[in-house]
Amino acid sequence: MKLNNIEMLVSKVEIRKNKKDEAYILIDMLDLATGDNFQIFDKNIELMQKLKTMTKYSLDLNLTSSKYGLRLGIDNIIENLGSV
Amino acid sequence: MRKKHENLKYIWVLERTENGRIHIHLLSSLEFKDCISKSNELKTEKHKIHEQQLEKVWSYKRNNLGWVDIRSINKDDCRKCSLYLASYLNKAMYETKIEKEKHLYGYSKRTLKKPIEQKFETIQDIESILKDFTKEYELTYSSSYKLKINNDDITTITYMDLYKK
Repeated sequence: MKLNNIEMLVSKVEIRKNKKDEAYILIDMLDLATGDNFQIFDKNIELMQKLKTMTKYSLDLNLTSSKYGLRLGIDNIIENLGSV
Repeated sequence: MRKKHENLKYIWVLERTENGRIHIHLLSSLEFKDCISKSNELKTEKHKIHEQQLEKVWSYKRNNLGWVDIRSINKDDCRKCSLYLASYLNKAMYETKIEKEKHLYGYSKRTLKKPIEQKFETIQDIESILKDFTKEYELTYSSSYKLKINNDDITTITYMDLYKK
């Protein structure tokens, strides 16, 4: 399911490595309107590294279902709305 | 330990188990130079020797006073450990029979500062709160959870860690 044009604050961007030594990126996002927090894991480091901490973005999100549960991902970064 | 290690930092929580025995969770800054395994790793021989040494210290007046389990933690584990200790603090203070005893928890008063807790109410939204604080403080962690209030009303609790820059 696509969630288009959602405004979120990126509160943390961190590159991590899994057990196979493969890099992935962890992004903490905060919905400033509701106070809800979301954590996103993504292997597309090049694209996700464009995100800066404490900056608001307009994003398209993608909610998918897997055997492990619901997974939220970033589909598209629409616009940088400036820092808080 | 305090005599041997001048700047030792530690916090401990005492808990009584169902069969009445006590056990202590202790988080310390003591370093064992890479020979202590993490909780998901098998213990090395060096690791076991360190545990035996501590068991001897613990039982120096009487035999079989118990056993010691030491585990190393890294930066990522710190939050889990602090939450773990905090949950034991709550548990020890409110749920067990030892609530009236004085030493439920303790810490190294010379090397650790007690946090100052301040509470205030505001009608600001999250963005303006962050604007006010992020000049001086850095947001290091945030999480949220839903809380049911007044039967059917559900509210969002947003938790943020702000550290002074």
